[in-house]
Amino acid sequence: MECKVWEEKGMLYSSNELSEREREEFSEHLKSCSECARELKVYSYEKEHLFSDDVLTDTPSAACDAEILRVCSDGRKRVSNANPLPLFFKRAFVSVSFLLVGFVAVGYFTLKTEAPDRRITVGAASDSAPMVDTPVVPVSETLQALVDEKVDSTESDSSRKSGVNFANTRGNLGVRGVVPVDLQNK
Amino acid sequence: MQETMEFNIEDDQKSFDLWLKGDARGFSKLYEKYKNRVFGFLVRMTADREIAEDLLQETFLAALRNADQFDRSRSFLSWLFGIAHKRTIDYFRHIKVETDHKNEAENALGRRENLPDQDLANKGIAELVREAVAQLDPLQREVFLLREMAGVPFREIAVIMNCPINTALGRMRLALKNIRKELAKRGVDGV
Repeated sequence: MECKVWEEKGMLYSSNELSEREREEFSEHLKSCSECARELKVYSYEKEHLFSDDVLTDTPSAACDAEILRVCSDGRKRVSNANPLPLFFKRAFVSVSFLLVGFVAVGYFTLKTEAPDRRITVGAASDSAPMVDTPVVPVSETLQALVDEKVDSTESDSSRKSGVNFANTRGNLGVRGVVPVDLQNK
Repeated sequence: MQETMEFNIEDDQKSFDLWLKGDARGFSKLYEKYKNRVFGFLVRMTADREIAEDLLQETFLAALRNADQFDRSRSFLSWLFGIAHKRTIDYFRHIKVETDHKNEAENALGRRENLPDQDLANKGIAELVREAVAQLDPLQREVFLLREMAGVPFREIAVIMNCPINTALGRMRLALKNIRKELAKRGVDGV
């Protein structure tokens, strides 16, 4: 049966983990306890002859060595999470960027869908009427008739001078609700 | 033996700093110095060289990733063995189901006889010691290897294994007792 002192202090003595005072006490104990002295002798022998590096260590393969040296050699590639501040800023930057892109996208599509309505509203006969598919007639029939008369009366002179038939062009424009300003005033 | 366990802490820390700065010589120095010990520990714990090689790589990669957690008051080797210990625990958790199935199959078929007597004469003392270590309970084996291979103090072993120092000492005592018993069974006696 092992001495209780060995159980408590023998291993720590052999691994140099005792304080100076404890070490001295155990050294004194060794002189008087043959059991502890024998245990220390056996353990020292085992450490030297049985538990040596040659017995317990082992060598990895050359391929393993090469792979580890390739993968681990550059210490700058480490992933550190010890300092969270840079990581916080990085995440905040990404979040704000996404938010901005989202606002820009929403704004763009909103303007794009609202713009045709505004354009139609300008030339609309009434606000409530759907303007996209309805042909726009901005002037009354009477005024349109007067304009057509003016066009017919001036058409022959202009056509003769330039060789261009303005009647068709103006007629087409009239159908589309575009009235020349000079003719409107007349 | 004790002298060989005394590693120069400052020298290791310089190499470690060089490594972190991207100087491959720092890593090479540390790797060449400690790879056999760490690999030996992993081989003895897993009993599989290929798995031990994978775990060796994981250990050094984990050391790199957790470089900021390195306590400069401890030796680099103790810290490295602490990481190797965690990788081993992860490995055993991972294979637990497989091992359970394997044990069930072995129980169903009947266990093989270990170490036929005719083979003993052909084995060297080193091989017999390795086999005796392999027969240890995993917790006893780990304390034994951390102490004998890495020279990790018992106080640090207790921290690494998350147990009281007296538990670590008790496991070491039992490990030595069982190794002696196994060696005696194999004809190595009179130590």
